Amino acid sequence: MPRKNAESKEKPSEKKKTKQALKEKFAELRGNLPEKIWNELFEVAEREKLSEEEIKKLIEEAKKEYEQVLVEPCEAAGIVAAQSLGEPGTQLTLRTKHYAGALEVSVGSGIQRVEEIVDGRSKTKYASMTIYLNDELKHNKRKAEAFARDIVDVRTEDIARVKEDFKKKTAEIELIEERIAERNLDKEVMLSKIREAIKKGEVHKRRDKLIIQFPKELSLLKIRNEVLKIMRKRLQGISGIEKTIVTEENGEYVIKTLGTNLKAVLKRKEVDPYRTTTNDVMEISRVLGIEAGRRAIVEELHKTLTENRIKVDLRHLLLIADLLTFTGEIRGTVRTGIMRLKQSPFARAAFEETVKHLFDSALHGEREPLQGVVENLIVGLPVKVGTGRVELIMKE
Amino acid sequence: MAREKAKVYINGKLIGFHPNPEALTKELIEARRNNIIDSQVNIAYHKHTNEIYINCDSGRVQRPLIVVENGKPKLTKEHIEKVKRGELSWQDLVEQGIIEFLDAEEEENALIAEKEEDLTKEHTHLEINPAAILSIITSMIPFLSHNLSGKALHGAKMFKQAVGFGQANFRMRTDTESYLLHYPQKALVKTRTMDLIGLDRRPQIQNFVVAILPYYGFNTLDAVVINKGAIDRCLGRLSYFRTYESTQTRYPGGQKDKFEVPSEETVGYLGEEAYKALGEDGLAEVESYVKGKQVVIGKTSPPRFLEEIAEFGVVRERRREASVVVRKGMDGYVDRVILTQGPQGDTIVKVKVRSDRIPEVGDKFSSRHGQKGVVGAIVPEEDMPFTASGIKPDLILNPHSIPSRMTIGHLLEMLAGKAASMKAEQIDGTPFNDVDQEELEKLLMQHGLRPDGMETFYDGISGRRIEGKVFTGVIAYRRLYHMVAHKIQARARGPVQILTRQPTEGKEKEGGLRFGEMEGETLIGHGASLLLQEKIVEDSDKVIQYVCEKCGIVAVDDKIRNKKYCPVCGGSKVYPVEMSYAFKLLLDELKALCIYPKLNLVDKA
Repeated sequence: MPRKNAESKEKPSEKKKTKQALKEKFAELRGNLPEKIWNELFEVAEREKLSEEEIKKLIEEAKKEYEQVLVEPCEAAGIVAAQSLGEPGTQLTLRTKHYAGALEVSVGSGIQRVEEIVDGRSKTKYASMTIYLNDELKHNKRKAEAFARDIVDVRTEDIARVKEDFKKKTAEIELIEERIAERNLDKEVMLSKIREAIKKGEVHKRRDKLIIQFPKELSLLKIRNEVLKIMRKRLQGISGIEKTIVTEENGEYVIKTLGTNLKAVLKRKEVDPYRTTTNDVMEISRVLGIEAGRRAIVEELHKTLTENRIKVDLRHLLLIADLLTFTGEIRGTVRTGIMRLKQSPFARAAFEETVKHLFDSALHGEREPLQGVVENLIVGLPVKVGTGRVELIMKE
Repeated sequence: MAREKAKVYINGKLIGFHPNPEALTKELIEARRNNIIDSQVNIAYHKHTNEIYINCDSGRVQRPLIVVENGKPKLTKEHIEKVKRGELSWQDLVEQGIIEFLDAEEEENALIAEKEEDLTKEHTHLEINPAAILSIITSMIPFLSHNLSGKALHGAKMFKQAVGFGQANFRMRTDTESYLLHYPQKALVKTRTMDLIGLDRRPQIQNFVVAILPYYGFNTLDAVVINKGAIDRCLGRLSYFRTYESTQTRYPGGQKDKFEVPSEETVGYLGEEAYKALGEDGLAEVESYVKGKQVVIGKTSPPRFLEEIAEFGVVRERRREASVVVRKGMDGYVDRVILTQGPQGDTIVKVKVRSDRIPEVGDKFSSRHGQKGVVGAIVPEEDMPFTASGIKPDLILNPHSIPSRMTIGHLLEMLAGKAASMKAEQIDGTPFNDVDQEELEKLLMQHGLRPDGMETFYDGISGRRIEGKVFTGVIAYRRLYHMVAHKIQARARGPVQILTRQPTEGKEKEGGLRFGEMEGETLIGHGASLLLQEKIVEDSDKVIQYVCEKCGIVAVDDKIRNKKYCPVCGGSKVYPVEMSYAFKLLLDELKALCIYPKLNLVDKA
């Protein structure tokens, strides 16, 4: 075997040439075969050392096969996609019932997650980010962990408790030892950061306590507001990131988070902005644009389904993602989403809020074009897919 | 930190606080054991919430347990001897605090040992018998401890569906529906609970000879094959009774219903044929044959409006038909006619109709281990496989029913049933107390049978020996009350609903099977939209309506004057349009909502 390898390595340029020549030679036979299949064919031809006659046959067979699996004109691709996702989906709900009582079940995976994506909900219930690090941090565990700690959103109220004395017009902010240890923070740094937040009054420091003496003329309500402002002050981190954990993935350190803030994280120089991502598809489409959102939908759906060992052809997911994003923003398959965009009053009425849609369309004098599926079912005409699409026109 | 006082609840109502809940609980339980308070009172102390629940209300299930103190059961050998001699009763044991009843709440705080050997110092109670953890029904499944827990559930569920000899006074009863199994048998393999509740005196099973074998594909997917010869010898046969009832109501004004054979002049007369089974008194004769839509109780009611003036100005009373007819698709023999009086002194008639339900393809059978199956074929005796000694099984069960369900109890019962039939004695299969497999094998050996229950079989059709040995045994089977005769239903045309003109729904109304939303989508998925249109319009509620070209509104079709005109513009430029009646109804309803649905007509493509 090693000898053979050596041989093939010797003259790759020559072989590439012949392949290229062959490709050009048969170019007119290509028809509508896509690039990938076309290239694969010649790889096979090369490996099997086929004669030109055989290559011709191979291309013809491949074309036949390819045309067979193409979606035909008038095929109900949407319905097939819906069924292809829906059928295994019912299996999923049935199976989760068997797991009832198991702790692991969450909205993070399973049918609820699919629903969340397809409905285009604005808030992901279990939002999480996967942060890839730049070359400096990705192999340095200590630095990665330090960064992970650094981006966690910490507010004063998370690590301190406050005692107000309205008689003396003072407030006492005391750090909670365990909370600080939990988050691996520095006491002095935190105290100084809290101190920065205090805008009014004199501050005395006594060990872990900060005692604020507010000016006497300040009203009680204003004192309370002031204290609340201090308590809500972000001391460090990126807002929205609740927890982080450093894991190893393919030989590099990666940070997984609970909570998401893609825009702010991407601004940090420590991260690899090309790979860092979140599972909140709406956020991706907001930050990176609708095409990124479309990709994210496909990827999230695919991930959720494969996690549950459901095999759905990727093209169905692509179709769904296209449908959700073609307007330029993510719209779910709910009455406030793409259902509202339907031009047919019957289709809207058949989905939800029947009477409302009927009244609204009557008010605007809408015309039912009878193009969709439900509309024709209601009226009792053949649905305009498959055999119902074709019409004969008499020759004059 | 001083502990808070515990809340004390009686029957869920807070009645006060106690500083020392443990002592209070102990004292109360002691008082119950000393027969100072009733044995039905249960006391439970929940440590984590610091609450004492004392329950003495109704609706709690209690179960008896032997009290254990310091790792020793209070019930001693002397007690048992005394009970045997009749000197002590169950009540005495309860009153002496040897046995006590726990409910679900108090059980939470108890540590119960299954067997006496398991007792430690921590234990508070001892099970009277390990089988006592099961319900009455569940503990009637023999060799239950060898089965999957889920199968116990299935088996117990089907006890309630089994047909048997449920009540000895069945001749006198007038239940709307009742079943009676012919020749029920004692189970060869019994459990002790069966003795306790006397199931052998009200049996619901028959002992089937069962072979575990495929049979030409007729017993795939949980079907079973049944021996025709066995059915002819009354296996699984039953009687089905249905009682029809009618009251002779009295109306204000002195008029009343009358039991009689309605005269031809009666409004709604059903035709001579329908009244064939009736005697002079208008009631069906006992042991006469009646079938669907025939009258079993002839009854007429007075006319609804008093003065119904016939021709020539004569006031004639035309009574209305109010007879009770046999349900559609049912038939049978009149078993009993009962005349009685209602609370208002009205005469009530009950006619009980009996018919046989001989096992047929599609009827449901089940063993006691959740192994239910539907009859897939009834095979003539000569075609059944037979053993070397000439035994033919009553029922053939598919081997695929066994491995995935792991009902080892089923196999053991077959083995035990076989041994019991050779020994001519019932064998005890009480859960957790059953006989060992070795013992059964020994028994089989003693009677000259293979200890593993396997036997050589010959194919009934070809006569060839079946390769390999076949597991055969005797096992209790039950006929369940789901029968094809009560469920079969088909329709090509039939009644429609008034509102939508779509076919009716349900067996009673001779309804169709709904071609629903999901079914329609499958057709669209295949692109078969013309087929779909045929299904939902042509086969359902197709109508031809005339529509005004100008107004786009459904026109009036005046059949009397043979005129079609638009109700809005009065014009007669109307054209026929094919549509579903439901759509026409939708248009009408839109109009009722003050929406003007205008149809734009185009030529049909």
